[in-house]
Amino acid sequence: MSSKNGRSDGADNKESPLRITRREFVAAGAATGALVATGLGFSETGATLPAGLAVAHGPDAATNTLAVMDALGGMDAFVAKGQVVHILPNAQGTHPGTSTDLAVVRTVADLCRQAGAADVRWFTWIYGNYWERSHIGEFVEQSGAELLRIDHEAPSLWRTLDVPRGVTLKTVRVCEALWECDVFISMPIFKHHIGSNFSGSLKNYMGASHPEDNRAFHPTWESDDVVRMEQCVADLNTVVRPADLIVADAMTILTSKGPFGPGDIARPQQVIAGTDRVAMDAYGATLLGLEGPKVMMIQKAHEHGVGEIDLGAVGVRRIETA
Amino acid sequence: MSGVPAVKQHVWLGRVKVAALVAAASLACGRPSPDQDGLPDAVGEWTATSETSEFAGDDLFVYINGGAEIYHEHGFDRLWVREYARGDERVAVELYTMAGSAYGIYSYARSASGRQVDLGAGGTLADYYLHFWSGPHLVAVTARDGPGDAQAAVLELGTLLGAKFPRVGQPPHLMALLPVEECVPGSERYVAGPIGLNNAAPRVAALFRGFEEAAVAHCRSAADEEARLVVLRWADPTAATRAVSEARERAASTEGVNGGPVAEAGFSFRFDEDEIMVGDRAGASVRLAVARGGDESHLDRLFPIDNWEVSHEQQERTQ
Repeated sequence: MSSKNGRSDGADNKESPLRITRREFVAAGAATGALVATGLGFSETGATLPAGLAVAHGPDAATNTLAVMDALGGMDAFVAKGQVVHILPNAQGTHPGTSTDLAVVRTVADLCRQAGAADVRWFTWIYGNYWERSHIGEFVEQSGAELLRIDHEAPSLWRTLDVPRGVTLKTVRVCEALWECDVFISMPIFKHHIGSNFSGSLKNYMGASHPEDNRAFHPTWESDDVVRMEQCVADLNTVVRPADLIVADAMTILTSKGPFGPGDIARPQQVIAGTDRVAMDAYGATLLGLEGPKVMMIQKAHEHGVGEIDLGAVGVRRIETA
Repeated sequence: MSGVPAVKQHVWLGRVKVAALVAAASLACGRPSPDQDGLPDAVGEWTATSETSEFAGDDLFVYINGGAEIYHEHGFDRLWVREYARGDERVAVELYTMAGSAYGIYSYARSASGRQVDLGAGGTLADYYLHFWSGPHLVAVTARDGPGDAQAAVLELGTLLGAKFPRVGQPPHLMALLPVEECVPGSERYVAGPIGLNNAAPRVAALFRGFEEAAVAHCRSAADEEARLVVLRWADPTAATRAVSEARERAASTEGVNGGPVAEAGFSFRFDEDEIMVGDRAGASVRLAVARGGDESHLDRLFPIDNWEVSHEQQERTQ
């Protein structure tokens, strides 16, 4: 359902507290009354996009999503009229805190359409009738986006990539859908993971790499490498298409027994957006009581040059939406 | 095809190993009717709102995308999933069947802070979910909307389901080597391979390889000293001796780790962040403690050597 200003559920009758233009935002900086800037603020990188992370805290997921997108200059800064958008959320299952919040996904899909996207699509390699039987089908339908189901047995749908900088991973198959779009948006949820202690933006790419290859990410006796998964995820991130935008859910998150749960639940009530996978995860790790630089996967990705691990250098803009 | 250099997948070894170790126990347990019947259309006032989904073997990777390996490490065989509703309350029921005893996966899956409930061979109730096990079965009942008023509903449905599952099965013998009085209730874990050990005791997993099974618990002494206690068992004393030797070598080549033997069969490693790992070997097994701010005497205080030797002899006799 759209509100009078064309926004999605959760934002009805409620203007975003940050409905300012990107130019106004950048000019206002930390002085903007609605913002509580705790980092170094945004800095300009490249011609069009501000660097840094935007973090919105409040009880409503959709409002938080609108706030972080406003802080990054609006969806117009990422999606142009007529473009095709592919979205990769984490659709793990029905247990609380394991899948990207539907309100966050729906709001991003709505914003893409409002920005003039010709098509907004999910993609997944989850196969069989599990899709129809699980909540995920319902999830897609409610998001209003189309669904691309990637047949993992159809070679034409997969791109085999050499991983020249890979320490452990030497080649990997990644679904073509990652490149067959104008804009790629990654939408992880920050949560615990048994193999790597943490799952976020970097690991969300395992939703695009081939499920058979993913299985080899886990440690074995013979590999003599207990941080195998962390290294493989970091290696994978050196060859995939970087997300044009990352919007991460941290409204309700699993803090133990991840990635599937059920387990302990925390409610940070945050939505985080940015373009730097490493910085996003370095921030997300703190929500689970971890230090980003001490999470091997994040550290190794940083060593690969995938992104910035120092949040002080990136800048974190905090927004209260309550 | 995998781009990772070819390695023998431990999950398969784990599956075979677990199956072999506990096949006898499984046969003795028998299998309750859910094995054949799946999950019922109605349970008391609860009505199924979905068909039963069934996953066998590698299909578990579809259901638990990115987290199925720990289930395979414990000998996963089959899973049934069904959702139930009563008014606005929605609950998911998962019925796992393992190749052998489900205790190991139960000890991983249950809440460490939940309270014990008398279901099957043992159950744990958390704020919005519960687990219980019976022979080769693990049952998980989870409220879809998470914490709130869900606990009573979860317990009610779990109790109705639990009536179908007998009190069958005992924890593996290795668990008896842990000093029960010192352990934080609910923290005990039975570990079948590297994935579980890396999750339960990552410092230990980084140094010790090739074990057959392990028991892990978080323990607290009367003096409020805390430590993670671990018992590892290899196939034979020779393998255990080699594993300790290799652990010393790994520690020596790992930045931030300092160590040296404290006795012929013993070892101690100090980590940069004021953590210490102290342990020793007896036969095919190693006991060790990992503690922050501790010293070499930590092991005997938290894991009394007299108990260890007696328990170890008893455990060896039952192998």
